[in-house]
Amino acid sequence: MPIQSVSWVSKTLAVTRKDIVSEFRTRYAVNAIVMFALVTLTVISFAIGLLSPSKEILSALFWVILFFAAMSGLAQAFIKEEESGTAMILRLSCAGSIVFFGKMLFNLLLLITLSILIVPLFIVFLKISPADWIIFTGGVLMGLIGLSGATTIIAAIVSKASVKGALFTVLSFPVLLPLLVAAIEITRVSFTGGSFADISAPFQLLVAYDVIMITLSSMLFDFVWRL
Amino acid sequence: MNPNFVVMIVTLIIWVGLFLYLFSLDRKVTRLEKKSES
Amino acid sequence: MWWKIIIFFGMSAVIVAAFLTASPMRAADSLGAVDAYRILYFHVPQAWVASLAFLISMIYSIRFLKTKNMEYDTKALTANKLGVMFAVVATVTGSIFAKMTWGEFWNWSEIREVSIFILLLIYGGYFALRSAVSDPDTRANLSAVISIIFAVAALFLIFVLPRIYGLFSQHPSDSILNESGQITMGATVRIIFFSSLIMFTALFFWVYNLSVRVARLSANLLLENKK
Repeated sequence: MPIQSVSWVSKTLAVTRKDIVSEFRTRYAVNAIVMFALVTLTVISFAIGLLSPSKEILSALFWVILFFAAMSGLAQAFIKEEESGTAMILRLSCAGSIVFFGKMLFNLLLLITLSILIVPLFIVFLKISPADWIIFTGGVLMGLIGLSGATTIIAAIVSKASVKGALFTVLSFPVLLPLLVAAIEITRVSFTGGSFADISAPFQLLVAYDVIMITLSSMLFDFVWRL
Repeated sequence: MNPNFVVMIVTLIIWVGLFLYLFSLDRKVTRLEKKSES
Repeated sequence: MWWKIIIFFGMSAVIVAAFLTASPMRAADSLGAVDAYRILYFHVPQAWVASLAFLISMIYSIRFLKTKNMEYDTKALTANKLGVMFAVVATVTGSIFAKMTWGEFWNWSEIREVSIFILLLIYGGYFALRSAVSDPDTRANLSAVISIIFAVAALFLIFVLPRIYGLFSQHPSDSILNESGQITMGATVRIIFFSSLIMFTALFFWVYNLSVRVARLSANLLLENKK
C-alpha cells in the first residue's frame, strides 16, 4: 500500500481530534472548566447581583470568570499525556509544532464550549446583555484565541515541573495581562454600546497579541517539548 | 540642622559602607580566582 | 580598577548634590513636601536598573537556548536575582514617594505603580518556576523559555498600559511629567538625574560581574570536590 503524504493540517487536526475523543470519554477538563465558571458566576451573582453593578464592572467580571476557569481547566493539557505515557509516542510521531497547534485548537474548542454555556447564564443572572453583539462576539473570540494561544506553552512548561500547584496561574497571569486589559475594554464597549471606532485600538492590540503570542509560542514550543 | 543635610550624611555613610564591602568582596574573589587558576 | 573609583566618587557626588542643591520640584507646583521629590534621583534609576537586569536575563536566555551552555543560564539567573532586589527597592521607594505626594501608599490607577508591580510578578513567576523544577538542565531550559515569553508580554504592557491608563488616571499631575508624559527638568536637575542613572547602571554592572564570578567559582569548586 503506497505511503500517502499527510499534510500537517490534517496531522494537527488529528491531534485535536484525539484530544476531543479522549475528553469525550472522561470529560475531566470540560467538567472542571464549566463547573468552575458556573460556581464563580454563581458566587458573583449572589455577592453583587442585587447591587446592580455597573456595566464596566460586569465586563471585568466576565473576564475574571473566563480567566479563572481557564486557569483551572487548561493546566492539565499536557499533564495527562505525561502521566498516561502517551507523550513519548506523540514526540516520536510528529513535529512539535503539530502537537502545539493541535493542543491549542483543543483548548480553544474547550473555551468556546465554555463560553457558549456561560454567556447566556451571565446575561440571565446579572441582567445584562451586550448592546452590540458583533463587537461582543468578536472580542470574546479574539480573547479566547489569545487565551489558548498563550497558555498552551505554559501548560507544557508546567507539565515538566515537579511541584505544580499554582504554578500555571502564577506564570500565566503576567503573560495574559495585555490580553485581559484589551478584552475587558472591548467587552465594556459592547455592553455600554459604542461604535467600531471605540474598539479599534484595543482590537488591534488583541489581534497583534494573538498573532505575536502564537508565533512566539510555536517557535519556543520545541524547546519545552523536546526536553 | 537642615534635615536635607542629615539625610545626605546618613546616605553617604550607607554608601561608603556598601562600597567598602563591595570592594573587599571584589578583592577576595580576585584572589580566589588566581588561586584556582594556579 | 579606575572605574570603581569613578563609581565611588560619582555616586558620592550624586548623593551630595541630590540633597544640597535645590529640590527638583518647584515649591509652587509640588504636592506635599517639596523635598520629597529628591527621592526621584534614586527611585527612577532603581526602577531603570530593575528593567535593565530583566532585559539582560532575556538576552542570556536566548543565548542559552541557542548554545545550551549552562554558563548563560547562570548569568540569566544572576541578572534576575539582582533585578528583583532592585525592583523591590524601587517599589518601596516609589510607594513612600506616593504617600508623601499623592497621599496614599498604593493606587491601582497609577500606571507606574502597576508597571513595577507587574515586573515584580514576573520576577516572582521566574523564581517560582525555578524552584519547581529539580533537574538542572530542564530548569535551565524552562526558565529560558519563560523569560522570553515574559519579556514579550512585558513589552506589550509597556505599550498597552499608557493608552488604557491615560483614560483612567485621576492623579493630580505634577509638573515633572507634563500632559504628554515628557519630563521637563532644569539644567542642574538634568545633570544630577542622568549622573545618578549612569552611576546606578555602573554599580549594577559591577555587582553583576562580581555575582557571576562568585557563581562561577562555586560551580568550579563543586566540580573539583566531586573529582
